[in-house]
Amino acid sequence: MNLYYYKAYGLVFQSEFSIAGLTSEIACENPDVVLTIGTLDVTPYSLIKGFLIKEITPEGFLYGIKDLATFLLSDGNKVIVDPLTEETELWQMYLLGSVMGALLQQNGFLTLHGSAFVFNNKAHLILGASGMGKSSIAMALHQKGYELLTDDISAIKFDSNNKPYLFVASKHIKLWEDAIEHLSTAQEDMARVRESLPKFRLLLDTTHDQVKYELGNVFILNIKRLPEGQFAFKHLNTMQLLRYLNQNVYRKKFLLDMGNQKDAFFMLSQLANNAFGTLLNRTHSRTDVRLVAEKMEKFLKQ
Amino acid sequence: MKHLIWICSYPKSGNTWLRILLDSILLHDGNSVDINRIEIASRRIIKRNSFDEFLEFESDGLTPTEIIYYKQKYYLDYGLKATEDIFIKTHEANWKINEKLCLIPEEVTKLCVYIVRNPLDVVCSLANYHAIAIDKAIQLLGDRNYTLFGPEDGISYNVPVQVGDWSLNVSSWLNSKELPLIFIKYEDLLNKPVEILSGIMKGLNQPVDQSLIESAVDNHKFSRLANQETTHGFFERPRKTDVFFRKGQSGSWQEELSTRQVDKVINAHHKVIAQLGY
Repeated sequence: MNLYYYKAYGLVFQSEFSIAGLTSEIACENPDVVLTIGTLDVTPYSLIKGFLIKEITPEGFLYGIKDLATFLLSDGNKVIVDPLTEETELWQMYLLGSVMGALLQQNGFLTLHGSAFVFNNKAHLILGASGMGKSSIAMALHQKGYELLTDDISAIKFDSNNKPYLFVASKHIKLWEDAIEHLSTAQEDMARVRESLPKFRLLLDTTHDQVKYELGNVFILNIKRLPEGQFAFKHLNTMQLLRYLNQNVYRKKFLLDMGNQKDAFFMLSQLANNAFGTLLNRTHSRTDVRLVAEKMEKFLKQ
Repeated sequence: MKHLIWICSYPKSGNTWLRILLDSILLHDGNSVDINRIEIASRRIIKRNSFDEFLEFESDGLTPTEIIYYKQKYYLDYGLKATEDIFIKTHEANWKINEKLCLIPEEVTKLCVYIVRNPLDVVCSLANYHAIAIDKAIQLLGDRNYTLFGPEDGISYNVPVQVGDWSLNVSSWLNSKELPLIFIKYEDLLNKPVEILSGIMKGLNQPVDQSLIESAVDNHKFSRLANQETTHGFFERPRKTDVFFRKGQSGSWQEELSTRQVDKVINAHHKVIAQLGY
């Protein structure tokens, strides 16, 4: 059988199937996570909200979406996928999203929803509600020469001195067509995330020399009714940062489901104590991402 | 218990004015309402974050059809958890999901009030709302994919609202036989407001004194709302638009549209126009 190897978040993945969106790695004998295709029996479980399966079973965390796919995650090192749709892009979207989030949580990571880039050899996070333009800003920063570390899920662990580190995820970024046009970043071979959506996956020219980077700033994106082209940076104190971090935990409900809530809150507190939080108020405009990137660069240089 | 009360319409058809009038009647004894503090259906019950949290996966990878499918589940869940009546504003068509299901779950719907306006007047107002030319607004009126808060509309906390074309939007509600629906015309609300509002209050099982309704109507004439907007602004005004409360009149299309433009609207929507007696 053909096996595929990938590296993300400091973990080596061995997979029976190819995964668009992860960075390839050379084959190894002791992968951290093994992904296989299998049949998962969900008949004993009832659907939540009419479409979701979420159960802690003796075998692990069972997560599924009706008629699309079911996943079983065991001990943070084994994932069985039971695809129920022929649209591979669709079930892999869940695999690299919610399932990856749960897997990282099982591996003791604090998972936040946001992008990250390198400045002065430190990782800086861009967090914010869905649809705030995190990826577009990250891309604009990448165009300015700042390495992108993660596009969607920011996975953090702490060293023995409580210093937070962000783990490198992938060399890929997902962008809507209008953002690609605006940033003039189209690639000849860029693939649609899904056949039916004008959203594309781009492979970035980046080296990722390190597996993890010490965390620097946490930027929280916020929309304000400001005049076009205006931005406001505001320093956040520890409690304010903690509140924002808590709002941006990736798949927070999974923490509760898997009994990891206490650990996660402890890590959030550690992060709030050890990171520099900045609220970035911006306008609704999608066309000012380059300007936002410039302002962030200027802010960091100061 | 059924707790969801939908105030629905195609955009620029009087939805906000109706909400202000209901706000005055239900919460302010017919007194003047601050347009920036409307309580009736002012809170968006569905935002990107709350939707994604409900789904437990990202909604931005979903197709428009899938968004409708999962929104129905969201509304149903929201309605089942509601412990008191909740007014919800929507411009979305009541899209059909399958033979049995539509976007709006009847299991949790107490009432729908749909307000329709002459599409010729809608076009004029829509052009102002989106800061586009009349011809472009006519195109939008017939666009089945007309969506508010879509990816191309700038950064937003909102989940895309799939309005559909005008005829589809109106028909989708008019033909929703399972829903308890009060269907009103904007023009009737202008010409016989007390009668129309009394009917809605009856539908809500909250009959009120006629004098209270008269007072609410008097306090919220379009000129007064426009004055409030001039003085204090209006938070629901789109960024591209100078004013939200424009004319509020019926028949202003006669001054604003050319014969060609009128013909174009009528040709595209003649069936529903005729059905409604416009």
